[in-house]
Amino acid sequence: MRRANAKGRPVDDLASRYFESDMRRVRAHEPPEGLVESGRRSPERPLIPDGLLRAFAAAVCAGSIAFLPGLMRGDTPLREAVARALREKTYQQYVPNLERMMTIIRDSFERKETI
Amino acid sequence: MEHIPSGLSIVRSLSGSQRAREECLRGLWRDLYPRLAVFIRSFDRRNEAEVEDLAQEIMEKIFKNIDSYKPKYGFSTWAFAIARHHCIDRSRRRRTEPDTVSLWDVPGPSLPSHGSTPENAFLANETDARVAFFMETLDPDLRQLAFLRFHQRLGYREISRIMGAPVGTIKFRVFRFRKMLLAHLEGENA
Repeated sequence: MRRANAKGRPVDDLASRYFESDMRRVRAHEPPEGLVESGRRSPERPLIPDGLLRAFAAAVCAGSIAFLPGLMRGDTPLREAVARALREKTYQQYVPNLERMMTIIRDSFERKETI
Repeated sequence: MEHIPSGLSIVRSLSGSQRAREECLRGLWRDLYPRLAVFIRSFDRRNEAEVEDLAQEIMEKIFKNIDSYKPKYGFSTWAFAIARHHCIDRSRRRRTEPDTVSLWDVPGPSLPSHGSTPENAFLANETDARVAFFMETLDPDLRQLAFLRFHQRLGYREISRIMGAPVGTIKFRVFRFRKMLLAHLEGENA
């Protein structure tokens, strides 16, 4: 097998070429809608699917908090949003107001989305 | 390689008309986004979707704070410093979170390799493949430093600001990087 002549090539150039190759793999992206105009991204998709949000809110309202970690395993931002809603400790007064709990969680999640 | 406009010209464009500002921000996005993506990947070996998300978050942060930018520092220095802090912050949070898969992270179809992709062509070169192996196993800080120094060609002082380490430390790390890479390549050739 042919041996590469490392000494003949400055290591700086080799390192640079490695990153250059990585950069070629980066896909071109346009700025998200709203970012250039207002400095903020417009939501591109529903932040939380309604059915899922309803399931979480129902679990919170029913006091089935023990199930939440399992339910939320798939989505970290949503888990954080629900955790924040729980931390507010206001949920008890809304039980069993499911719609209100959904609003709390959705609002909390959207606040998180605003960097 | 494209170049980010000077800090002063950025500030002038931003304080001009709304149209000039938007054009400036679009230009910055085009120039900066790919650099940030590679910078992020240098720090933390995330998958492509995570890198894109993180790069967008950082760009948003940069745009949000752009009016606080002072041209006494290079724009790249300022932007990479924001990116590094964001990466560190995310990395810390990630360590405290269980390993999860996002609900939105639907795996796409995997396409067969035809052996003629730029990546394969790159790996076909023996030395480059060895460099890639070395880089993959490198300490993230050192890899990020190598990106800033050898690819972005930033000065020691600028890197020192971005990495939050003294200039002397940065110089020593660059020296150590060169020595390690050379030793790795020579070891392979022995």
